[in-house]
Amino acid sequence: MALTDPADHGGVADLLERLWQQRRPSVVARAEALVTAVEVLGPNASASEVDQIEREAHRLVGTVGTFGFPAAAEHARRIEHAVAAGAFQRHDDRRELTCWASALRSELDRDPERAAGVRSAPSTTTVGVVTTDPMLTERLRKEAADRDIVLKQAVAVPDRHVEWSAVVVDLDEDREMSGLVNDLRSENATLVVLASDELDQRLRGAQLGRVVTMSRNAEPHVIMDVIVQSVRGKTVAGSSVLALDDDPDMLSDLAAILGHAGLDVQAVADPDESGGHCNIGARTSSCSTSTSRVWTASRCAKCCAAIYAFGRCRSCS
Amino acid sequence: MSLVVIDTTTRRWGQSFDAVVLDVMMPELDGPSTLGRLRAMTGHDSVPVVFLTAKVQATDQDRFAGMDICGVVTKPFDPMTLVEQLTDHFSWR
Repeated sequence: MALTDPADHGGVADLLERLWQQRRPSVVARAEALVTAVEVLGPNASASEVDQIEREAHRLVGTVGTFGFPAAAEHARRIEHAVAAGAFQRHDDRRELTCWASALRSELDRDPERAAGVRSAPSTTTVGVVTTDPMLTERLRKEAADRDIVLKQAVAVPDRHVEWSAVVVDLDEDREMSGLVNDLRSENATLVVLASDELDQRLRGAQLGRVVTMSRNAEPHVIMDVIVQSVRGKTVAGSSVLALDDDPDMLSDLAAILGHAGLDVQAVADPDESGGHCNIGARTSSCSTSTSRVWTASRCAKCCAAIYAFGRCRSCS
Repeated sequence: MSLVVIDTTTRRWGQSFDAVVLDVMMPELDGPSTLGRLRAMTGHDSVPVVFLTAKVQATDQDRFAGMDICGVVTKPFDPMTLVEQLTDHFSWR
């Protein structure tokens, strides 16, 4: 089962949609600035001008490609490589650069390719529920549907022809479960046992060993959270990742996407624009969100080269 | 500068990292240089690192192959599989 499991593709797609809506104006503005920069690029452009174009094209490769504009990314990559190779001396070279930049900008008026494909992606996360209680099944089915998870009820043994992502076994019945659980364990599915709050039920669940035991009275969304987390892998959620990138937008997107998967992301930008003087002093600020913290750090370019941070969190600003 | 930030945040906030995702093309101190200094820092000498980069030419990839990293994820990355790629590189499952 993939960590970014198909069941969550809808969630990631929605996240990307929101991110793109937030990001689009600034990305379009960056693309238009690149068009202008390329248009005025002369054969005697300074190294700084060339470096800025190369760097901005390089950044746009990642940004527009990630948001579903592969053709725009290819245009940006061509600009980056051509400028880096010094292919702007001849008039024809510069005209070609301008064409690529304009095409890049035009591409952004299209709908991103990724969105349509993602939405039509079928779910392959299938959860079986072994129970004779239709009420329990219905409670879980509604929650599963909201997450694009296929949920099927089995009275006895789940269909062996289905590749189960997880199987929920209802212990609220007076029958032997150890054989069933042992069989299912070999199927490599996540096993979640629902036991009543009675002591003997909880003991029975514990005796089955190496399964996730939960209260039968737990809210459906809590049960589904546990299933999704278990399927994803317990070592992922809560792991901390430090991300370094000189593009604050890229960092913000990374934090959102990885944070969506349960990773604790600490993002550090290393922009070449210092953003100001060090009269605010050397300090670091942080801004907490539910899943990530983003530092946007810069350095005084005028006197002390001290590190400071704007304390600006793009996720919650 | 990146290393200063890492060091500052680690000491000030008492944080450690399970893994690092590192851009390659950065001003001042690029990814490989950051990696080198990271490896020299106490507490970060063995943290797994993945390069996230738009540097996809063969010469770049050859250069990365000799470095002490878990892998390379290319930009533009696929947001639908990014976590899976990182998880594979970091051997988290």
